[in-house]
Amino acid sequence: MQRALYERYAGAMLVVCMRYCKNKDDAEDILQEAFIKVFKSIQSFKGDSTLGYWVKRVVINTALNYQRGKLYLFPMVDINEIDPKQTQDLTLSNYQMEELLKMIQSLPIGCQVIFNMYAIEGYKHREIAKMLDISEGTSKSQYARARLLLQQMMADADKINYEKYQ
Amino acid sequence: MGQGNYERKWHQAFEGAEIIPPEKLWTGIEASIANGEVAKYKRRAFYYKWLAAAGIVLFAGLLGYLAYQSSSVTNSSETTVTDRSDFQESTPSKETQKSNSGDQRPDQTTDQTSDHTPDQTLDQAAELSQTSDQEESASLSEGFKGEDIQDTNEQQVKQSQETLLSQTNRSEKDRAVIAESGQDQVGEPQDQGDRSDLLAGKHDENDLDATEKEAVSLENSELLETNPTNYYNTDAATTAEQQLLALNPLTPRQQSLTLSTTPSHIYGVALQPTSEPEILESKGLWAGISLAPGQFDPNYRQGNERALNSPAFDQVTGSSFTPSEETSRGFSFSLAVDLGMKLSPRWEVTSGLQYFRNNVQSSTNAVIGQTPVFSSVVESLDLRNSSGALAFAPTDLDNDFQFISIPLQAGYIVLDKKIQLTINAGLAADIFLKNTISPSDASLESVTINPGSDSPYRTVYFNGIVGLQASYEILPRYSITLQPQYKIAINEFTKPDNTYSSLPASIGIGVGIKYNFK
Repeated sequence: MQRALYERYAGAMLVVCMRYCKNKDDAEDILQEAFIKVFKSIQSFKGDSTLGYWVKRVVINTALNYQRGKLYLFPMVDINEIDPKQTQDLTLSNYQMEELLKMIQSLPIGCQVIFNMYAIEGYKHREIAKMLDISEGTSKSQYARARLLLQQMMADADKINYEKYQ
Repeated sequence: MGQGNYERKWHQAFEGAEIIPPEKLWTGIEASIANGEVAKYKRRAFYYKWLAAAGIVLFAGLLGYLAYQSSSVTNSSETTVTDRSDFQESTPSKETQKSNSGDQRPDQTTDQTSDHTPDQTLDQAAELSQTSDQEESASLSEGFKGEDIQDTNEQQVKQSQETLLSQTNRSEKDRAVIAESGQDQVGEPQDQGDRSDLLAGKHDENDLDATEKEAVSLENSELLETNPTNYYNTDAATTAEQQLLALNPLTPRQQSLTLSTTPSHIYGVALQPTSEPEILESKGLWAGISLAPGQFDPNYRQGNERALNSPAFDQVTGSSFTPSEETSRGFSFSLAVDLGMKLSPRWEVTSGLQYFRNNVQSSTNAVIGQTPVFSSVVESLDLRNSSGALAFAPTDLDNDFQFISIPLQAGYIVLDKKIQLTINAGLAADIFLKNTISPSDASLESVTINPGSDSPYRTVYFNGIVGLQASYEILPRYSITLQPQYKIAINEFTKPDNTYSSLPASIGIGVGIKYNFK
């Protein structure tokens, strides 16, 4: 039963963990800890949501706890230099999932976490601020910085690819 | 998803994405879950272990308490001093029945005694003896004669005693005469027909002169006083031969030769080194407390010297009287604080301090009672410091011994795992604290013997100990212990000038807790 549950969700959850970490080893540690929590607290799952969503919440919370110390080490501050126009024409289909993962992992830890939570998981800035015990403005500014950094990374990647194919 | 197109693209980019985790990840998860289950069972077992340990300690304590209670004295009035009438009421005897029929007046007996003893002192002594007997008869037949006669007799007795004290304390000669008069008291079959039946009048007055009788009487009284358990004579006592077992261990050289000449390939048994290497780092210290209920045997043995079977005793008791005594094994319990030090991986030395309380039951038909008359006479003769009278009735005695013991043992560790098994052997110095002898008859007084020159017991005697200590680690550093132990005296507990000897032995099972300092 436990093995089946693990095999059902471990692959997807490892991707989630890697989005919140800087390397695969940390991601595997988080995934292991998260699944131990899942198996210990499976009785608390009441069926209010899908099992996959519940497992993902456990994994994300574990990842946040894992990164919480680093978040305190690198305090997030408000950033105002945002140019929304530069992010209008985004095409991600040109990138492999591994490339996108590397870009996200290259972000500063604060930006990485908030970008994941807002852009991919779908949390609102208010929820993120509450979960990470920061202000909503900090969440917004960190997210904006993450977008900017990702845009620069994509531009650099496009340039390299263009030169490669030339 | 309230986010815009940008966020939706990122979300879709990772939707359904998977990376196959390595197999070691599941192994780690499985191991963690298993450890968690073990930890859960350990937490649960923790309470059960303590519950079991508490139960064992409680059971041992209850056992010790019940053992002590069952052997404790029911005598609630230790300081009761009773007259002979009370004593005899509680222990009716043939003497009482005879005294009822022998109704004699004091003046008559005095006249008869006067005819028998021409000397004035002897007259007074005879008067004392007669009135004493008469008083006893009056007391014994209380309710038959009434209190008037008893009061009259007591007044006469007091007057006689005062006169006697003023005269008998002057010289040895007087004392001898009084002793002889005392013999008359016992040996006059006509005046004391009631008592002569009991005493049978088998003694010969001419065998001993007065001085000899006093000497014998003094010796007897001292024995009785200093040796409360010797109120009897165990004629049937046997002297068991002791066998000494001599252990002749091989010397290290002999061991080496034996091992070197034994071909190891024959039985496939690996040769053991002749001596184990000393590991000084393994000096583990531990301390523990334990409670041990058990059995105690004073192991009394009668000596060659006759104690109560002396002529003087015969005079008082009559030769038909045969003192007897039986001592059974009793219960014991001890409370111990133990200290141990590991000298090597296999050897340790232990010591500590133990409080022992042992209780045995004795049954005898000769005990010391008390009457005012007898006490006055005896005190006047300076035979005893305290008063007493001989009485003969089956009486149960409760012997309570208390010791402090200091053991020193060497232990060989047979097993040193979570369960530790150690074989111990050594010596123990037992320091005698107190011996309380309490008769079951509430009308008799308890006797307490303390250590000292007047005590028949040595203040310190030594024991050999063999035992086993099994311990189980219930927590880091904490173990519960079970210690069966046999202890036997290697020198006599009694002093050599006694007419009997004692080599106490005890066996018990201790239950306790041990703490390892590491």
